[in-house]
Amino acid sequence: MRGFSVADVLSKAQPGDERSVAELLPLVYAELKVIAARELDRGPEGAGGGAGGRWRGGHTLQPTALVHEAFLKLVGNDKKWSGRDHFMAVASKAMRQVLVDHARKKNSDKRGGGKRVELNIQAIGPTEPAGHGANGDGGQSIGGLRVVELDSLLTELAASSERAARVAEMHVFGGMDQEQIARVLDVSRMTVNRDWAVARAWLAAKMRETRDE
Amino acid sequence: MSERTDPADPGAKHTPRPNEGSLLDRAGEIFLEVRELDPLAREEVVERKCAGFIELKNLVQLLLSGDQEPLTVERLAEDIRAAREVDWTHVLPGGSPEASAALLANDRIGNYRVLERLGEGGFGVVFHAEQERPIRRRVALKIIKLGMDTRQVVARFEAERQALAMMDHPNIAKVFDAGATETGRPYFVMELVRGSPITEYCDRKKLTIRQRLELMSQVCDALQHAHQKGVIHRDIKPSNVLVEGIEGSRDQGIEKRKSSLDPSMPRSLDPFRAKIIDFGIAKATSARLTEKTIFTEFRQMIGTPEYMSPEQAGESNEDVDTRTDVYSAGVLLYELLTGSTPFDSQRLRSAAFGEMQRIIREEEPPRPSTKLTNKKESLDTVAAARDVPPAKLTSAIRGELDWIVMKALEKDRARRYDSAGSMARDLHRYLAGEAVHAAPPSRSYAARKFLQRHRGPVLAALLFSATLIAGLVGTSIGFFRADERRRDAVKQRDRADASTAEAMAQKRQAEWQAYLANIGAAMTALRTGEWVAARVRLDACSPGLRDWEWRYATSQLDTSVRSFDGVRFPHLNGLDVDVAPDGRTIVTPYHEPDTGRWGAQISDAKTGQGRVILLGGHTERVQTARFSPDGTRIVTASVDGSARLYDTRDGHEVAVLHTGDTEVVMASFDPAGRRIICCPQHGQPIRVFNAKSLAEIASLADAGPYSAYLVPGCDSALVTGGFNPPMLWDWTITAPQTRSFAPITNYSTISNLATPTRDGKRLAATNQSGIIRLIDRVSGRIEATMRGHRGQVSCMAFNADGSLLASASLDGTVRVWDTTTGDQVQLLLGHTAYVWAVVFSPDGSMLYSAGGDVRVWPVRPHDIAEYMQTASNQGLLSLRYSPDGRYLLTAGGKDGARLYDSRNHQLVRVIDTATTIHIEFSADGGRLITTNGAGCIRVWNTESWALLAESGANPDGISGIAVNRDATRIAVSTWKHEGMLYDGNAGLITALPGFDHWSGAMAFTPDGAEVIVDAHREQLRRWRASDGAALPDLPITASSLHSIEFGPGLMLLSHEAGHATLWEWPAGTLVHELQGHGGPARGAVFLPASQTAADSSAPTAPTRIATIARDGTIRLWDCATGNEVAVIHTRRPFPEQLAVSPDGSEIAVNFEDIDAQFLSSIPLRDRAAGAQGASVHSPAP
Repeated sequence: MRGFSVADVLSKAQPGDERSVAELLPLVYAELKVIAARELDRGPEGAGGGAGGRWRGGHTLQPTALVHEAFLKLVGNDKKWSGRDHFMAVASKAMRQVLVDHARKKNSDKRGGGKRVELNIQAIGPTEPAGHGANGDGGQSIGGLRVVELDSLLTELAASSERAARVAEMHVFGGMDQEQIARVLDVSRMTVNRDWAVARAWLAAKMRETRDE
Repeated sequence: MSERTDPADPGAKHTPRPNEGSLLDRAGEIFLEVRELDPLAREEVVERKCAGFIELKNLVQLLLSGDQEPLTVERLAEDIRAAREVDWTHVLPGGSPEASAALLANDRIGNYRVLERLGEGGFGVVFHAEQERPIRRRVALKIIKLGMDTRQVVARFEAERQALAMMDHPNIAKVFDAGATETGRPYFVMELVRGSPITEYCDRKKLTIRQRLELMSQVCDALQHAHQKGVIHRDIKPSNVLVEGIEGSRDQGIEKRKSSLDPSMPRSLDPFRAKIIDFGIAKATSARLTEKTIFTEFRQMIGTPEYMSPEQAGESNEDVDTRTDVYSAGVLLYELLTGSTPFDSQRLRSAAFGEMQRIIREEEPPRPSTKLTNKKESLDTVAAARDVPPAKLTSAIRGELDWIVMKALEKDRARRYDSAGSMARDLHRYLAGEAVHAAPPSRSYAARKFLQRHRGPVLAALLFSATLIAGLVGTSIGFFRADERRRDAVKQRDRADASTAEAMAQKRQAEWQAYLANIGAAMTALRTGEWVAARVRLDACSPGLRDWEWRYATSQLDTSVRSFDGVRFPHLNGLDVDVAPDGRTIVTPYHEPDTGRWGAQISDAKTGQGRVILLGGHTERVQTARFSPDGTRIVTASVDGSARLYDTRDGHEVAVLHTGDTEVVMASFDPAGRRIICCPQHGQPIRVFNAKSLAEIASLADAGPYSAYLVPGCDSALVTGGFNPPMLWDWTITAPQTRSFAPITNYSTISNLATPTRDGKRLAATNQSGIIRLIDRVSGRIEATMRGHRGQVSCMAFNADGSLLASASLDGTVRVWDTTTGDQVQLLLGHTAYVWAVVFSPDGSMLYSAGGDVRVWPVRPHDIAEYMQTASNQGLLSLRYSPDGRYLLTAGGKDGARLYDSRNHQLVRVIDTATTIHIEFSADGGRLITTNGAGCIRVWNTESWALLAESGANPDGISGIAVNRDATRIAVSTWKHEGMLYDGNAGLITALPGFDHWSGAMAFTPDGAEVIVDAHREQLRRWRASDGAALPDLPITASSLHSIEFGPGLMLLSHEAGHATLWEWPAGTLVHELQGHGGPARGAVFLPASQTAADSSAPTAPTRIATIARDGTIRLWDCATGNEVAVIHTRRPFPEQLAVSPDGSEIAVNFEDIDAQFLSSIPLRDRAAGAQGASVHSPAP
């Protein structure tokens, strides 16, 4: 059971403790990639028996499913009592890194005329561009640019309000709910709610600025 | 609420110029404060707060502008979380390049996220989607094509929703929901069926005629079920009848079950299952066929004239009944037998509209056998697909099958099978070798139609026809009788003496099926909040068959702990209730039927027994009766136009407040007891009286009727709902100055109600939709929104500190809300009428409500009886009841091992503070065994809870544990793939030889001789309990288990794959395979049959099995038949384990994140009585 060191770190983690994040990040990051690689090897109908949590429809995996999988692998079924939230927090960061890597790589491929593979959301029917103004690609794609942009905006936001940026990161990349985030940061759910409202408004405004430029 | 400083704090203005970081925080504060205000007010507050600090103001403006389009970020977040097209080949070295091959959709529609496109049909496009709330499940989402009136479609669906919800049949895909997309297209959400159209499936699998008929009988059974619920499909065709194969590993189990089961129950044994989809959709989307409808439109709407009944092909589509579906089923059967539809598709589709109508309405199709004979060129193919030589196919169909089909296809529906059930029975008869009821096609009818159509044909022809008919009929009848006699002889030999027993069995079987249907429908109704429907279904359940699920569902429908009959009226029931300040008595309106007098009655708050009757001069209905804050007075409001005051000690009327209005609908004291406020009918003034002098001190003519409260802490203010938005009034100002709360603009109906907290700082307001908003009285900001009621809210009450709000509604429920989060914390069911009033007891521990009768409910902010939050919110790993039923033990995380009183879930003591992973009681109750994070086994005394012994550490961690009956043997498995056997003092006896995989499921056999282990092999492994010697594998094929349980003569396994298996023990023969869960299983337990305290000591054979899985459901199964009896959805997703109380009355479920849920089959009022009688334990520090 390779996961014991992770479980140990997690079991020591205290709410608001950022050290565990630094310790675990490389490990979780590597594990996410390993799992993704295995899924690719498996092929479309992946040999999962009845493993319901996993997406088995093709060669692709949902980031959130991947995070869940990584937890099971690194921490195991028996230790989920402690540190699940912390793990999610770390995984949010790792997933952010993975997705940004991917987007950067993809963009460079595009520029180099390589494979054109979209990190793509094919919307059904006519998609409403979000908000009032239309963004560049009609809201149909979370093409690499938007992930990269979000990444750098989050970094910028962190300089002004570290906590709001963390809340956004955990929510967006880790799919964590307010309760979980509140536990990790050791603040009230109301605070998380407020932080998210601020982060969301700030990000939306900044994204529009970019769009309008 | 938040640890931030109050932005209104005057000190904040003089904060030194903030640095960059705190600037955003500061801007955030202001932004959060003003974002819900209206633009003008917002401008003003921002200006004031920023006080010339331009950067701050700009930042606030930036946030406000971003807040205009929250979707930009929310959608991006959602996209990222759900992105499926992450091409990992870019991230990973050497990945597969095919990653982008699948074209996957991803968008959000209502509560659903689209996963992939499944196909396209006549109506629209079908997607595989995931529902996230209130439960997570995979569904099929059908988006209807453009060109239909969304509102009409949805309205038509809504009209039938209740009927659809009542349908619960294994061969019907459930329709969950309907709505409109943002772009205005209607959509339907259905149970996801992974299957192929029935015709395709049959041909691909080369199903024999017999198998096809079995499938059709499933279809007819399903139609019958729907028809009984009043739902007609209207569009039965192959693409709406899908077949799922249930193949592979189950076959073995099926064989075994066939031999062991009642032969009259063949339904669940079929290796394939037909599922009818799209129920309710055809009706919702069907356009009325008028002459104006041009053909193309018509075709687009209906799509498939081949399956259309003659009446559907008529001009009026109104005239459709259940026999329409029988016709379409007949076409389907025709096609399954012959490979083509009665009327040639090509011909129908190329015909003009009128011609097509004529064909469907008038032309007699050839019999199936004739069709085959006429299609010589394709007969070989058709026969090959049915795995039968061509000649045999024709002869197999000729005769009875011809008749069945032709009876279903009769033009005149009065001549068809009168129900799908009759058709199903005929198919069953045919399959069982009995004579069918369908007679040869009605020649006389055909002849009549022939005459009608060919009015002037030659008489000779007529004569010839008549001769022919006579001959045919004679021959057929002769054949019929001979055949019947032959069959009867066979039957009689087979049956010998069993006819009575069989009749009994059939009756029992029918009752059982009805019970299953009723329970299923009741559970569905409970879940969808159709309380009345649930009650009706439960009442319909046969008393002799009622078991755990029935008691559970029934107890869910009444969560009150006491009820008293309130005042009953011919038309309006139980109008009001108030609690005395000392909490000992309640007051309700009172009516004396003999004299016709009205008043109020003071009753004991505990028993509901009457104490004092207050009868004064009221001549008409008393609407409300309320205590004064000091409890010495009661004021009543009556529709006779007066309010009256009584002395609570002797019941004497002490004063009358004549309002001069036609009706007073509410009268109450202010919290200080100084004033009385009377609310009138529409169009009349709200009046305020001095409670002492009884002088009228204000009359607000324009304040709106029905509801008004004096605002505590504001001397001259009152708040009203009425026809207006919530308004605040100062009644000392002669020309009333009003202030409405700006953000609320859609409050415009008479159901408005606004109630202030006791400190007067906040108020709850509601409108007709039943949505409640909590509003800061000063700023007007909406602090919380409470959604849940399905009808308008009639009364609201805060508890003393304003942390909880209770609301009574005309939807028949009372709900309790957390005013900080807006979350519903309690749903109180039990009233069977509109609920008109609700009030907290003075100590806040109880709620009283009036609606039909008066009911009393315990206030439990976290719904303790059903729901337990662990101390550290770290989640529970395991949960067990002590064998004597007194305690509940939990293990997990920082909470260690904790002991709770099983009746009230109060902590009794912390047994172990170490991180505890496993807990097991020995079956005799004498010992508790735990394992901890260090891999130590600990043995505890269950009287003193003292630690008796501890093993050495297993540094690799323990993956599974088993304890024998008297705790003299403990077996564990470690994550390092080792197995160990310990004695009762946690002393290591031996490592189990040959143990080579970690195990999560192990158990001692009932005789204690062996330990059975799932070691991820083909078969279960076992070791001898006395000395740990390896024994040969058990010949039971099972792997990846979550639990091994033993019952009397039975072994129950829960499989990772999602199912459970029941085995005879020690024989090792499979009894039932319990298939139904849609996710990995997490446990299976027996529910003991005895439920009453009286006989709980006598162990009885279990009648039910409960299973749990990651699909978020608990399923109950009948032990005898293996039938799934009920599906209960857990409160949270991802349940972990389940445990059952020793008396079988309660199932406990723990979840991976924070808590446990309890499902009890004992009504709350009985449990509450038990818990009150429980001795009080003082929690350990």
